[in-house]
Amino acid sequence: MDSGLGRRFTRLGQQWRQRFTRRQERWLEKRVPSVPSVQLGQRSIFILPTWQGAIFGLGSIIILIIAVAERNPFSVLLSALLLSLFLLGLVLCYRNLSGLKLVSLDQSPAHFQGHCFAGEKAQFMMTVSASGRQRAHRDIKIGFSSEELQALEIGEGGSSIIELTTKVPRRGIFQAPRLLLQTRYPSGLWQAWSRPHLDMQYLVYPRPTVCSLPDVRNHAGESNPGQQSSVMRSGVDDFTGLRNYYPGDNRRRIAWHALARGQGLKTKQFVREDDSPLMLTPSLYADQEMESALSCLCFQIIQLSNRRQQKIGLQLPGCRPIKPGEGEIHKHKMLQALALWE
Amino acid sequence: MGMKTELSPRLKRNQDMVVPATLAVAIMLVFPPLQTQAWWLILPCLVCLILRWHTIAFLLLFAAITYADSMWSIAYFLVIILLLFMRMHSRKEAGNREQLSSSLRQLVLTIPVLLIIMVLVFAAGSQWTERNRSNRSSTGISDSMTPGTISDLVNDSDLAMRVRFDSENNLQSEDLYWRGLVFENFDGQTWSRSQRLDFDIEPIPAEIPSEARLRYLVTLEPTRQTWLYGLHQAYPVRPQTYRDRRGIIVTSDVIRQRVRYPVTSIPPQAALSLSKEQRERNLSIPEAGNPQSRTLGDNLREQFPDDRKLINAVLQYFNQEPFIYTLQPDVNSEQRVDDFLFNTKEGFCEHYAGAMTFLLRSAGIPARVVVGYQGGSFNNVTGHWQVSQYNAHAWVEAWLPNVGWQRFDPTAAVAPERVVSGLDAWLASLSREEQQQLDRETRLRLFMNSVPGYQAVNEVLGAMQYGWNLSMYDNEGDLRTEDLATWLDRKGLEDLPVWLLVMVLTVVALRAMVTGRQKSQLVSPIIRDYYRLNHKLSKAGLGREPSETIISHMQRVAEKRKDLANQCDQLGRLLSEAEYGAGDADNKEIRKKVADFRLRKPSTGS
Repeated sequence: MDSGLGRRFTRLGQQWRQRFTRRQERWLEKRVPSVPSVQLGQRSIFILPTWQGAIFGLGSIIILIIAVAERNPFSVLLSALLLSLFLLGLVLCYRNLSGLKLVSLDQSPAHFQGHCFAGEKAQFMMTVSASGRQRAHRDIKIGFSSEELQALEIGEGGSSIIELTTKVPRRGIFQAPRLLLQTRYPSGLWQAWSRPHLDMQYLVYPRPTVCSLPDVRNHAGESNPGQQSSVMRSGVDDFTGLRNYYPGDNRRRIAWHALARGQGLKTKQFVREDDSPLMLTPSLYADQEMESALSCLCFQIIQLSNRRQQKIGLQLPGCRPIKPGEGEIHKHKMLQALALWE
Repeated sequence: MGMKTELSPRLKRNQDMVVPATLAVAIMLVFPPLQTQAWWLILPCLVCLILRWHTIAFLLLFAAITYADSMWSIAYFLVIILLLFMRMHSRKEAGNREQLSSSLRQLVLTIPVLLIIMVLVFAAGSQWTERNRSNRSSTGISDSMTPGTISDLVNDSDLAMRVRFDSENNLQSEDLYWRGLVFENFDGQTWSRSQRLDFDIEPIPAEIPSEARLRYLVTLEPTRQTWLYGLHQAYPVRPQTYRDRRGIIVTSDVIRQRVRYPVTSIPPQAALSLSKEQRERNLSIPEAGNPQSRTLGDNLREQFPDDRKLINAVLQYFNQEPFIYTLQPDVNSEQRVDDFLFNTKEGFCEHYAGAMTFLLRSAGIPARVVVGYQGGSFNNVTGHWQVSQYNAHAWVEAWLPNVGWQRFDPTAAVAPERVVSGLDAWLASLSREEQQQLDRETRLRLFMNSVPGYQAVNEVLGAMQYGWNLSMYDNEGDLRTEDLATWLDRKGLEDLPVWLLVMVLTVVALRAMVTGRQKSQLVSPIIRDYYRLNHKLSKAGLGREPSETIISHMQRVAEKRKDLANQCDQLGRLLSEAEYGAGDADNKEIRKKVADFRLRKPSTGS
């Protein structure tokens, strides 16, 4: 019998956990704010004994008490030694993280670490350097979450550049999540960790979706006279995509492969090499949602800029139109506009 | 073809130096200065060290450290700690050199911390011993009696002892006077035992018939004292335990853990003569003090020439005068006995016993105070008596001509229900105001006793504890491992545990050294197959070059050895697909193909 109580409790638990996580995030945001470079210190390093360490510490205290009670100086010495090793572990573990300098490597002038398409992995680069000429930092794990950590070793006074990747779900500006650095150096009795927030941004273009450019004839009436027409005629030179079959289409252009895959009758579309500039706008995909329209535009921008002498421009609602042009920089300008469009 | 291709360094096994070092440490145990060490903890610790079970290893090490007894053992344990910290190095892939330097560095750096801890420990340790000296470390009845020593125990519901009689008997609670110590010396304030022991090494008189002998088994809780308890004239069976002529059972060792001893008790034997020295000791009262009591004693003597009648008169005096048996008597002054007998007339058993002995002595009757326990609660499940600390009691023994020492209990004259139905019944019969004076634990105990069913549950629990104690521990309170050791001894296998441990250690160490456990865990079965294949190929000088992938290696082999080309191509494809592909490869088939791979002499000569 399912009264739904279990489900309700699970939901309640999830809510609590989310609330806790949010609280923790807010607290961390106040304590360890986001900065372009950070040196780990007292405020940002947390340390606790591991389970093993807790047993070790407790056990050494117990045998120390036993040894004192039994008045056995040899046992007192040895158990005090073990206790001091445990306490020393705290210092060494803390020192292994403290003073570590993390600087984000800003490569692009636009203040972005790089760009990628949504659904791909963003790569963030940062320099990690030792706190002093004599200081080494060993056996550190670094990453964005505890699931994906990579090892990091920095010799005396050394530094190293590390590259961390994380998946980006949506277009727009992607803020790098909080870093996680943790270490159990030297003996696994203590675990120190830090959650610095490096200010690193990534530009995320929309995820390109394969779709065909609507036939210009269908949109001929919509284009305003006087503006450079976003004209494109059906041609024979370049394959651009598939569209639904209309009776009367050339039988040679029927996509038999698509039919075999069970996608129904489709007609292959070709465009002719044409130098006339083309203005892309989301209204070309008026039947789709805005996000998927942007994805289609993204695909078309990539497709069309690969073609020579095809000038393309972009008009997004509420933005200054980008005049048709060509070249790699122009392409990225358009993609950036797609990424940042609100 | 004389050149032998070396396996690339990546494939070479990283020899783990901790394992041979651990074996050496195990062998070091045979050195004479280390032979006293706890091998049964150290050897398992070393086994766990090899197996990388760090937590168990250091817990065993902790236990072993409590046996350290010389500078040699300190050096020895230092080596083990060094190995332990090498093993516990946080980076699993770290090499021997890195592990060793890290753990040596920790041992050196820890010296200042160690010094601070040692200073703190010594400071705390001196405090500890100070406190120990002033504090009473023993529990239960102590070896002297001042007013308050016994009434303090009323609030102590800890178990004192359990007694199981060998045969059915109809002993009642009021018959059970567990004699502990005999106090003969009195300085006007405190009754204390005469330290002079007078051992009685005679066996039980043969003329006592067996039905007059009372056989029972006493399980005594740790007292941290050196005497035992028994009924009447008790003959215990326990090593290093002796009878005193006064009936004290003395042990030469302090009772630190729960002990069990069988006792045979016989009725007190008529002692027709009393030595001059004994008589003097049991008649002595301080020169001065308590004049009223002395006068009372003299008056009684004049009134009752017969000793027995005199004693009865004293008991009657207690019974008829308005004496109150109470836990909180008014404070007595210097003249304790006088104050008690003529002013306050309030006291607990130690007051009555002390005063009565004083009276009898001043009347010329040899008398002494006996302390021990009185009564107990009978457990119907197992049929044993459970005696608690609050059963502590003090009574009087007087010497009568032609009879010898005889027991008199003034408490029975004042508060008979205390003796007949036990202390708890007496406490329960007190008025509410008096009960409020008791401590909280005792009030709870009294309340629980009145809850129906509580007694039954308590009895079952007590029976279970007693049964557990009987089955798990031997008479000296040690776990019954001795029995196993004796059994092994009888079979001539006294060294079996050592040999078993040594065998386990050797097997584990060999396994760790031969298979390179750490390596084989990190590597997938496919790569292990590839290593096997590579091993075969390297015999023909076709081993893997550094920085070669599986595919390129196989292609190179295929080019060099046309006869193996087909096989190599196939294997290379299979292996790399299985390792890096989608993961639906048939591992068994690959293993079989690798096993079937044979190198024949190159057909195309040199």
